[in-house]
Amino acid sequence: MSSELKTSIVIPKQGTTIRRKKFFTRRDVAGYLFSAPLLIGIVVFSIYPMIGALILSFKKSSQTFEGDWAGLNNYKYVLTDSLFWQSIYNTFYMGILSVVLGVSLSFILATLIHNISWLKWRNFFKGVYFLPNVVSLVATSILFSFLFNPGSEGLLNYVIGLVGIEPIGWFTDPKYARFSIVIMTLWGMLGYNTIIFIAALTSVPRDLYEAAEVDGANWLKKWLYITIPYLKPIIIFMVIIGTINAMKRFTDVWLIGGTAGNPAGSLMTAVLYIYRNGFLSSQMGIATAASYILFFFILVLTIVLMLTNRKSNFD
Amino acid sequence: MIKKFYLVLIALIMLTTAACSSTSSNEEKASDVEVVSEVEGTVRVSLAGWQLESGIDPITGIENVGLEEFIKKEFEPRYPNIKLELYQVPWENAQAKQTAMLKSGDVDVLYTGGAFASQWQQQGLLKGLDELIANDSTFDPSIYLEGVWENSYSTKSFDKSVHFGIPAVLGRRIIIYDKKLFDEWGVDYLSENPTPEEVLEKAKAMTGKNPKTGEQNFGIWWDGKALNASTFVALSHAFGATGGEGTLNDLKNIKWNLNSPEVVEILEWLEAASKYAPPGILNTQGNENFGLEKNNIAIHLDANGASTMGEVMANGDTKLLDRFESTLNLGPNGEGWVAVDPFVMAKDAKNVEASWEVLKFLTGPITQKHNYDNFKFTPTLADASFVAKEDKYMKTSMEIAQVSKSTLLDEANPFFGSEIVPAINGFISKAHNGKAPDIQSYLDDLQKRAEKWSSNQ
Repeated sequence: MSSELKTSIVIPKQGTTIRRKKFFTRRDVAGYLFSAPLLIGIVVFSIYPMIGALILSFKKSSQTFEGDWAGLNNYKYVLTDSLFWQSIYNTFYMGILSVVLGVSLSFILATLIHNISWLKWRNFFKGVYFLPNVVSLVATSILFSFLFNPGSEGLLNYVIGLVGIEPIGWFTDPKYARFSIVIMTLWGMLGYNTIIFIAALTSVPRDLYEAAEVDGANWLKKWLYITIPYLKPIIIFMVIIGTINAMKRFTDVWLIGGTAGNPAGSLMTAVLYIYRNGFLSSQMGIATAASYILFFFILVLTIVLMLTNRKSNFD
Repeated sequence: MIKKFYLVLIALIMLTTAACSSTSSNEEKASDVEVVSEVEGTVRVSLAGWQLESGIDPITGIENVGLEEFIKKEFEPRYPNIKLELYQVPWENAQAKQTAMLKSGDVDVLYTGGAFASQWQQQGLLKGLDELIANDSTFDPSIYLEGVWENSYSTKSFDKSVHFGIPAVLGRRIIIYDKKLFDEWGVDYLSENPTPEEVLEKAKAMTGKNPKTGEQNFGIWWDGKALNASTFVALSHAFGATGGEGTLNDLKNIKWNLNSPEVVEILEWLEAASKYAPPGILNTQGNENFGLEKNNIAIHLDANGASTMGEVMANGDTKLLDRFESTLNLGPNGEGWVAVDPFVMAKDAKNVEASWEVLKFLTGPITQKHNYDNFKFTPTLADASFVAKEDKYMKTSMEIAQVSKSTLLDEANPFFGSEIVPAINGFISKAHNGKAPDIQSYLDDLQKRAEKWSSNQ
C-alpha cells in the first residue's frame, strides 16, 4: 500500500470524499534536509532580525533588547515627526521620478539595441550601457560630486558656461538637488534594466510580428500592440523592484548631503531618517518603528502594483 | 605573431616596473628591543581605518610602514608571548561593525571614534580601566595632554567617574589663512586667537574679484555638512553657548537651552559667513585647492594643513608653509572641537592582562611616533618631541587640544549627532541659498524637539 493511501482519510461528509495530506511524510525528509541550510539561514538572518526589530519598535531601546516597554509611543513619535514626513516626501519624489524615467528609458533603449542587426554592435552597446552598473554607489557619488561641482570648475557647469548659462548648484540648491540625484541614479541603473529588457525582448515570438506585418502594422504599432503587452509582466516586475530600491535610498544621499540631507533637507530620505535615529542617537526603538512604517509603505505599494498587473491581465 | 608581440610587451612591462621600483626600504630601527612583559595570550584587536600593510602615500609618494610590519619590529620583541589578531574596519561603517564585534564577543581591544566609544560605555559594553591604571606602576597618565586625558567624553564617562579609554589620536581642527591673498587684498593678517567678528570682517573684505589677479576669491570656507558640526562647536565656545544644563549620563533630565541668545548669535554669524563662502561648502567641496598654489580661499576654518604638509614633504619646498599660516580656534582661549579617538577594551575581554599590555603599547609613545612618522596622525602626548619642527599645524592643534573641553554640544551627545548637527547644517544650507528661516523660531522648534527627545529617554 502506498504511503499516499495510508495518509488519506475518508471523511463521510455529505457524500463527498476529501483526501487530507499530512504535513510531513517520510518521502519529504530528503527534501527538507536539502533545503535545511537555506531555511536555517532565512530564519537566523531574516526572520529572527525582523521579529527582533518588531519587539524593539515597542521598546525604549538604545541598541539592546533591554529597556522599558514604550507601547505605541515610538510609532506615535515617528508619525508626528515632521522630519519623517519630509523624508517620505523626498523618497517618493526621487523614487517615482527614477522609476518612471528609468523603466521607460531603459525599455526604449533595449528596443533600439535589440533591433540592431549587427550582433557585434549590439553587444558593444550592451556592454557600454551596463558598465556604470558595476561601479559602486560610493564611487558613483564621488564621481558625480565632481561632475556636478557647483562652482564654474564643475565639468557640467563649465559646459553650460560655454553657452552663457550661469553655474547651477546641482547638489547645493534644493531646487535641483533631488533631480540631480535622479540623473545620477539613471546613469547607474539604466544598463541593468536595459539588459533585463533585452533578454525579455528575445522571448517575444517572431510570428506575432510577422502576422502583424501581414495586417499592415508599422514598427510603432508592432511596438505598442505586441511588444509592450507581451513584456508587461517584466515591466511590472522592474517597476516593483525599482520602487523597493527607491524606497531604500540611502548611500548616495548620505554621501552627498550628509546627515542633514543637504541642501535644506531636500535629500533627507526615509532610510537616512532611520539611520540618524538608530546609529547617531542610539534610539533603536524609534528607528525600528520607522523601519516598520516604511516596510508597510513598501508592502502597500507592492500590493497595489501587483493588483494593477493582475487586473490588467484580466482586461 | 600576436603571441610573440604580447610576450615582448609583457617582458618590457616587467623590465620597466623592475627599473621603477625602489630598492631602498623604509627601515625603522627598533628603538628598544628589551622584553617588557612575559604575559601570555592572544589578543584580538579591531582598528578603524588603520593601514595594516606597508605601502606608498598617494600624495607624497613616500613609503610608509604598515601596522603589521611595525608590530613585528616593535611589539613582538617586547611582548614575545602575546599573539595579536588584527582586524581592520573601514571608517565608513566602523560603528555598526565594531558594535557587532563587541556584542558577539569577537574582540578584546578596539581603536575607534570617540563618539562610538562613549556610546558603548553608556551601553555597558566596555571595561573600566581605572583599576588597571591604579595597579600598574609602569603606566603614567601624565604623558598624555591633560586637557584630553581629563576632559574628553571619548575616554571618560559622562559623570567623569570611569576612565574607559586611552587617547591615541587627535583630530586636527585649526584655522589656517592664506597670507598671499591677505596681502593682495591689503588686509591685516588674523590675530593669534581670532574672534568670530574678526574672521567675519576679514572674510567679507576678501570676497569678490581679487584686485591683483582678477580671479574670484572667497573669504571663508568651512564644512557645511560636517558630521560633528565642528565649526558650530568652536563658535559655541566663542559665544558662550552651552546648549543646556545636565550630564550625558542623565539624558532625561537635561535642561536644554538651544534657543538662547547665544545660539541665536551663532546662527546669525553662520548666516552672514555663508555669503562669503563658495557654494561647495554644502557638500564639502570648493576647498580642493586650499593649501596649494592655486588657492582662492582666504580663511579656512577647521582645517588640518594636510595638503600643504603633503606638498612640503613631497618636494621639500617650504614656500607654501610660509604662505599658509595657522591660528588657534574661535574659542576665547583658542578652543575648538577636538576629536579624540581612543583605544578601549571590551567588557568581556578574554585575557584582560594581555589586552591591557596591548592597549598600553598601542597608545604609547613608540606607536604614536610611528603613526606620526608614517601617517601624520596627531599625537595625544604632552611631550611629542618627535613632531617635525616645520610642522606648525600639528603644534597648533595640540595647543587647542590642551585647552578644549567637551560640553553638551559634542558628538558624544546622541541628540547632538542626530538632530542638532543636521539642524545646523540644514540652516547653513538654507542661509547659503538665501532662504534662511527666522532664527528664533527655528531654534524654538529645535528646543521643542530636544525636550520631546529627552522626555522619550
